[in-house]
Amino acid sequence: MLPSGIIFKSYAAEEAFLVTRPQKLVFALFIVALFLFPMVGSTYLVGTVSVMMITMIAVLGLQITVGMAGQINLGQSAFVGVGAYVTAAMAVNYELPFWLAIPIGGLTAGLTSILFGLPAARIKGFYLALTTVAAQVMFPLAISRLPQSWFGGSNGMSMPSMELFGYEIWGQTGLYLVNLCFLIVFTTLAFNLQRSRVGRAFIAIRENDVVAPVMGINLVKYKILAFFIGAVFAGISGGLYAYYVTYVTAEQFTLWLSVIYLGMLLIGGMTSPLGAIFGVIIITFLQETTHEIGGYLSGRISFVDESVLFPATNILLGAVIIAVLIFEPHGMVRRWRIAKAAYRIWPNPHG
Amino acid sequence: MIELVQSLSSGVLLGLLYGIVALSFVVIYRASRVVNLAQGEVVMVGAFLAWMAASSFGLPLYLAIPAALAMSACFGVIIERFVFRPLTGQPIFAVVMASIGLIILLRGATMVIWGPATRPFPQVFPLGAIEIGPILLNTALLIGGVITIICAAGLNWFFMRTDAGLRLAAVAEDHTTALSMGISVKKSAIIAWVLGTTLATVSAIIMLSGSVLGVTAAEIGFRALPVALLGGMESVRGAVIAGVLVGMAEALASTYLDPLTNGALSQIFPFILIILVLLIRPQGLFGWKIIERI
Amino acid sequence: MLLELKNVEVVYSGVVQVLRSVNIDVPKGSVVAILGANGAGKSTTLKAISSLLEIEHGEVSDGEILYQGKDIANTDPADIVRQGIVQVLEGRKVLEHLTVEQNLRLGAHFRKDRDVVAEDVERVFNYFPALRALLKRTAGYLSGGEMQMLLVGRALLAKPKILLLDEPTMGLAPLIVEEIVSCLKQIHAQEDMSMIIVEQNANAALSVADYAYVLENGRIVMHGPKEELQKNQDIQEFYLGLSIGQDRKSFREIKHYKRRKRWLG
Ligand SMILES: Nc1ncnc2c1ncn2[C@@H]1O[C@H](COP(=O)(O)OP(=O)(O)O)[C@@H](O)[C@H]1O
Ligand SMILES: [Mg+2]
Repeated sequence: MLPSGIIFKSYAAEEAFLVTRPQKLVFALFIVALFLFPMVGSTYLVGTVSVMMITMIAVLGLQITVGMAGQINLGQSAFVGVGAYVTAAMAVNYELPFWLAIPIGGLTAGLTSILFGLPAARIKGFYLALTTVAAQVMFPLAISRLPQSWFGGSNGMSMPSMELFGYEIWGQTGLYLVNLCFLIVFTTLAFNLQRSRVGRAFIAIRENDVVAPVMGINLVKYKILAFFIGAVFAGISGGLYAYYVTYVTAEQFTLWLSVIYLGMLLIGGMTSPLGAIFGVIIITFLQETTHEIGGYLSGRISFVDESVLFPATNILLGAVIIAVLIFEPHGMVRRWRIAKAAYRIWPNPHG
Repeated sequence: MIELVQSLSSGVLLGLLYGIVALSFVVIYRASRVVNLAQGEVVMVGAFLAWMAASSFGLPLYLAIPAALAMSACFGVIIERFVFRPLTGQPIFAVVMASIGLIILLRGATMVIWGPATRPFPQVFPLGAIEIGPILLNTALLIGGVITIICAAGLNWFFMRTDAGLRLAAVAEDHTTALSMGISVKKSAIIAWVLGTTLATVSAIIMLSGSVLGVTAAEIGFRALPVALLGGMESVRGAVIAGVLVGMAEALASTYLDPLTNGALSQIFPFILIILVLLIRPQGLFGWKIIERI
Repeated sequence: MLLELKNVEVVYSGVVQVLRSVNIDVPKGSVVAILGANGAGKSTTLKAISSLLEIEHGEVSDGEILYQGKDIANTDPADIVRQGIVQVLEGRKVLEHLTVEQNLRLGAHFRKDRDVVAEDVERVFNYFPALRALLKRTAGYLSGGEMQMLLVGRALLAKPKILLLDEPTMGLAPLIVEEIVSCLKQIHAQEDMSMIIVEQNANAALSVADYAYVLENGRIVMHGPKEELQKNQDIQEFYLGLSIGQDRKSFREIKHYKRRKRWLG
């Protein structure tokens, strides 16, 4: 719903995300604030937001595969892993700068995903999820069995730091700014994809993959493309993650992480890239708060400690996912839209 | 030659273990159309329930096992009632996603209730191996295999020959049709979940008898899911046959291919096999052909 | 009166009102036809009677459905079938992956009187001899006519006091339609049973029914004994699609036609 008095004069205008001048202004201020944030935030907070942004890119990719195109993907973290390892190999073995290593990592992750998307030629619906589980199972095995000189085998790989024009990017602030730039680029891509021809084809496939081909959509091509684009996002996220944690091992990219990514997407709302962003924020917030509360409680109640707290977060998380599916299948994005509409027609009650 | 027979027969026994877990997928899917990705976690919870009955309550095994089965039946009723019943009529996608939520929830709950430490699982079946000529067979898995086959035969009879079983089949086909015939979809779903969770606990006991129990027990879920898909999600017979096939393939790969590939192929091989089969028969070996209408 | 719908209103998803104040009477032993165009609310009426609305997020929001004097609106569909109201859904919903035999058996799944069921199965074979040879076949691969026979047979095995048939002749070849219609007549003659037949094929329905209702946009716009409906030329043209003159109509005639239609409605 839009504020009153808005008249579109062209299709492009109608498709735009930011319509009114205040909207543009607020958005610009928001972006500036994001860039200035490290000046006010504590190191811990800046680090947390950094990780959040890295995760957002992976979940944005998942939104494209799962939310837009309706293909269940249980292997997103494997593609994140591919990105991380390839980025590491590029940076370590070939001493490429990060702005080359990370895109190469993303692309390789995308190409790897094509291998797993290929069965889409015949397999439909849920069964396709199986190949993504296969990806997840194969990933650590492949890493540890490939020659040690490639990916460090089971030892993992240590990362150099990022460098730009001969200057080293260091500290949480530096990494934060790089992550933010990547996030802005990929969020823009995700939003624009949704309203492009490809995005519309994805949505048609999601809604009905029996009818979509009748409308002239090449099912196989678009399904593979959905996997590819989603995995490129994952790979980029992996590359950034590698630089952030400075050390990659195969154990960082588990099926469990893929499951959590899906959970984030679900809670945020699958039908819009905004859902990916909301989901990551909500779940990070949830985890951090239980952490805080736990830290407070563990001093006072004897049996509360780390080993109870972390799983307790998961109980909450799982319950929230199920509750969202039952009570608000469109995720928090819908609540956001309702809130926006309510604000615009305030003080009238929503009709 | 002996090596081949040995590896094949161990493979068959392992495959039968996959088979019984796959059966639990199938039973739930048949009546509720739920592909429960959290089935591995259900097996894990079943294992912890059995452990609790035997170790915490200190019951003797002949009481502990029925107690564990009864508790898992209740567990099934709870999952059905509070997670999947509210989702009836939702697209399959939402249901799959709910099962993902269930994975997270059950892992968390298990860790909070029973703690993350591993513990010895009671020894239900005799340890060691039975010698048949030059071939050694793991006793627990052998007995487990027999149980699997009995369960499968029983379920097959139940689904094909009894009114209650046919009712579940009708529900699996179409909810509205089943309702129009006076079949209660809710009751069927409850029966399916009770069967599914009890079978999962049986498989947990076979898998863990005399070994170590921890959250990693849940991993059997994603090893057995492909087996269920290969057999066909609707087919009881298919689950067992596919289990045996995958078990044998895995054993052969680990005997003959692993030395060449540094031990990686035996774990990946089943997936490759299954994807290849699904490319030719998307509904699995014995599954229902999807009759698509626009 | 065996079944009475009194001012029944049906709403889907809490917002879409599909039936408005529908009144239908089904005396014991009679065959009632409900006629109307696509989307008029015929299937909804039948689903309201057999309580199948819930699964589609619909409900009877007002009015009563009295069966043997008791209100059965929005009750458990399983109970309704056991009380003798059995519906054959539209679209030939056989249980595709089960055999014909299993399909038939499921028709009687709740009955305890095993030996009577066996007799009933024989009776079904008398009505539909073709089914006997198909017993072991998978139901999903039957032809349309065979499926419809199977469905009616399956419904008969539930011992209905009132059989609800939703478009039993839809999409069937004229010869098969005749066969089904004559079977239905025979069943009505031999069984102690009422029927409601929903049809777009007015000819087929009226040849079995003795009373008919015409539904339009969720309202009953017309009802009467079969003979009366068949006599009235206007009704024939407007609702039953049985055009009498073949000549094309002029604009004036159409205006006149609309006025008459409004008057009738
Ligand atoms: N589940 C539903 N939700 C909303 N509207 C529905 C639903 N089912 C049917 N309708 C609407 O109710 C009207 C009557 O449908 P129906 O009873 O199937 O008509 P008929 O059987 O006469 O062709 C149609 O306009 C249809 O769009
Ligand atoms: Mg209809």
